[in-house]
Amino acid sequence: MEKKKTKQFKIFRFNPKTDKRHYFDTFDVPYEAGMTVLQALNYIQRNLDGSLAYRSSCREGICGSCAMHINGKYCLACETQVIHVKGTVTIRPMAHLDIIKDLVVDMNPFFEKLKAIKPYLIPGDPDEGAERIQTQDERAYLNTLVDCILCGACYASCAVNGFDEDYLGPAALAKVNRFFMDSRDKADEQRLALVSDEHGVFRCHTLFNCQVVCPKNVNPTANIANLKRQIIARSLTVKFSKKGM
Amino acid sequence: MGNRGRNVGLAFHWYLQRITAIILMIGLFVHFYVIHFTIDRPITFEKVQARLLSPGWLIFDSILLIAVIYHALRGFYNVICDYNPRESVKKIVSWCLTVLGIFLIIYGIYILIPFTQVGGV
Amino acid sequence: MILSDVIVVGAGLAGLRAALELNRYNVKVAVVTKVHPVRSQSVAAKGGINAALGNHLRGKYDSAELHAFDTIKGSDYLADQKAVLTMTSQGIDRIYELEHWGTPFSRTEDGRIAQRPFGGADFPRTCYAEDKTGHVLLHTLYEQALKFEAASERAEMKIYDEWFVTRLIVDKGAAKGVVALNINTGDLEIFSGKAVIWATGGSGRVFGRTSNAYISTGWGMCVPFYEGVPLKDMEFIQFHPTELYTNNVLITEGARSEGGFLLNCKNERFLANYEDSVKAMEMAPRDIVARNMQREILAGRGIKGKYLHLDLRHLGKKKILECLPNMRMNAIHFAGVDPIDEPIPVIPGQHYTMGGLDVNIYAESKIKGFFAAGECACVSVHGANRLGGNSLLETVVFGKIAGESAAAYVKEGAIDDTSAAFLNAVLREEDEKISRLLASKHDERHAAINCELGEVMDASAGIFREAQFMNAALKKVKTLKERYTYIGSISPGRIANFDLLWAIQLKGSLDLAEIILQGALNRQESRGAQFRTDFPMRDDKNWLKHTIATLKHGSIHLSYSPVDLSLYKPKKRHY
Repeated sequence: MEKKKTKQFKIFRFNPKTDKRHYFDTFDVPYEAGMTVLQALNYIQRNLDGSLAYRSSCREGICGSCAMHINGKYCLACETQVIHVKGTVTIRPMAHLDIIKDLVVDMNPFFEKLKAIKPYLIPGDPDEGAERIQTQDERAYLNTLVDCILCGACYASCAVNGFDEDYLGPAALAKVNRFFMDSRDKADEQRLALVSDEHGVFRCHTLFNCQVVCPKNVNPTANIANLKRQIIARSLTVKFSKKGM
Repeated sequence: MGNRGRNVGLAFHWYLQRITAIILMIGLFVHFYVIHFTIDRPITFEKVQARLLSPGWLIFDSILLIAVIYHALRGFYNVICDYNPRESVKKIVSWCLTVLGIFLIIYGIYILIPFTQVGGV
Repeated sequence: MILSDVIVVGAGLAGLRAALELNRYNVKVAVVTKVHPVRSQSVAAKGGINAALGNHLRGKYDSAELHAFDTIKGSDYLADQKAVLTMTSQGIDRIYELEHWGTPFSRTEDGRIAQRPFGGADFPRTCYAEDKTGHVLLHTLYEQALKFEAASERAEMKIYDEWFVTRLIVDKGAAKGVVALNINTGDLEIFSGKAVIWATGGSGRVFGRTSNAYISTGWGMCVPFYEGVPLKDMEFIQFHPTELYTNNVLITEGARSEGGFLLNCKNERFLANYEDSVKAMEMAPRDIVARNMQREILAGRGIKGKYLHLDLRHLGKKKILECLPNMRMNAIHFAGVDPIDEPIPVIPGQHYTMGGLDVNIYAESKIKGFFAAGECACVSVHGANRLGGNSLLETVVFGKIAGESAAAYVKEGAIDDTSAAFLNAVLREEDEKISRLLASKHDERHAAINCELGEVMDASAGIFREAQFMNAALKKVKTLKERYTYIGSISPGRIANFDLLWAIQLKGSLDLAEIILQGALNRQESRGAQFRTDFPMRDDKNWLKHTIATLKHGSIHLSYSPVDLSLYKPKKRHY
């Protein structure tokens, strides 16, 4: 049988119960075209070191479990092909979040911020009978906005989240804009008020990190910019079309 | 998470920071051009005075001065804020910078005024 | 100990929908889930959710009855017909409700919910949001759950995510809660309540080649099974026609409904050559398309003899980007193929478990206070073959019904009379089980067994089944079960010990495999998704009945129960 090529994986390890400091373990994983980094992690966990901890679920880039730092960039392990990674594959957990074990981080702060922005539709009219009417154009504004899978890659990549732990972060702010842009949502003022404080949109330094890493092309930076624009326009009592985005 | 709510001041300052940035972009270019390419070397007091005798230039320079000072100090304040100081520290810094800014603006204009009087200082 | 009125296990669409319903009835609910709600398998559903809204131009004369008929015909008449009608008629309101909660459905030109045609349906009635319907639905329900969680001051509604349920607590014939392991801390805890709603999803990972998430191990179905809840119709496994050849990621049925062609190596639309799919072609139900695809591959007309092509190129870039963006990205990521320029390599693969925990139309089971909904349950509305777009509908309709039933059960005075001593004994027992597993010095690894299990199930319980192979497979599964008793060398410690979780769940996969094989072997006919090469005809006289699997003294026992045929008489299926 043909001997398979192997790739070296350098993986961040830390178990708060037994380790004083984090360290890196290296593993050699046989691979072929089509193998993803997540499958390589599975291989390591099943065959080389059972104690390796990482989250995984759908393995097709829609559940958002496996965001991690792979060779300099936050991405989904399941969508990253091993053959596309040059040299040793170095994997770190997401930043700004406490480490539970190895690549598993405590996502609670991330979700707490999501909860803080009222992430649900606030309709103006009571819901009765059939569906509300929304034109295709109105729906088209939401096209990438609703694609967020809450993986947290943007949150980990954002420098502002690093030094301001109260900063809402790209995902939550983009979610605000998702509802703000929804023609069925009637809580514009409320939503803008929620994000116009010093840990909200004006904290954003427009670094574009979130835009670069987002695996679903949600582009949180543009969403945050739209919210800023709307807040300014409203305080100047200028009528500013939502279409501007 | 603390209370979240509308902060009009923040939006205002953010907006002003952008406006002053535009003023600086245009103003600094004009300033640079005028000083370095339109006045024959060496620059003398008379040449400067001649320019500032026109009220247009006086207003231009004053606006540029205010924009520079606001933009710089607000930027400095934002840098401080990124280190998450306590509310009290922020307040003190904010007051100090405001006082410093007002002082610098008054002082700057105070220096500009004498140029406008023929015969000079 | 965590106290609540009702414990909901699983936070996919069915679990969250049930929790929201309980919240509406002011019943205190704790949702226990082994992954964060939006990581559930529901999120990967793509094509859409069926309901006879009649928004499509060709759907004007659609009705819940016609939807029910299509579903029953699709099920090869094994579905319980009144249950189907319940689902199709309540489904319409459920869709509107989802829209009111904020689901961003795609829209028709006049601004209504857009609908597309789907396999086995006479009218276009599959509501969709591009090709991410499951994603937007799950996020909408999660958002609603957050809304009510934020509003509940005394944890009237609380989601406990990353808690792995190890046992259902049954006391004096009634469900009283669950034992769960906090994955991140390793603490074992009792969730005590008056009723339990089960919504743990499917069991695709019993097979090797499946479109299901890693988490769909089947453990969820087995936990109540061990406590006496029967499993129904487990031999009916749906094989989805179009999964990526490389890693079985699902290519939505929407790709065919938007006009995609299935081609063999001669570039011909081979479905025209088969009697049962000659008219509907790509839009025949999944069992028929998958079977004919497999026949084509077996006849050596596959590309490189291994897979077939799904060709979308003629749809054009605009339509693909508009209607199937997620599918396109999956093809690019996992097969290196852009459907705009090249056909997609596809094969049929495991996709859905039609069977499940035996419940009635009110989501009630044999055990008092135990309710189940969604893929883990079998009402049965899918019978021997599910139509695309009906699974999402089932989750929200029966999720709500389970919530209603549990609320009524609690309000009618279900009492919490379980003694603390009993609960503590259960907790101790579970704790010891885990300790024993962790301390085991044997060297059998779960990964090896799991891998072999997948291979044997793919080979013998797939699209085509035959007695001799299934007998051999059954023997093999039994040796694997024997080997499982020597499982060991599990990574120590309890914090985020995924090694331990995989090892525990493997037991469920093995038991389900045996039930599936037993059921398939016993059922000497071909119906819906089950095709026996040795019994190729449907046999309504002997086999128009549900298979019921129960546990008797540690071994699996099969019995049968009648099908509700009150609405339509069984006829031969042609599409």
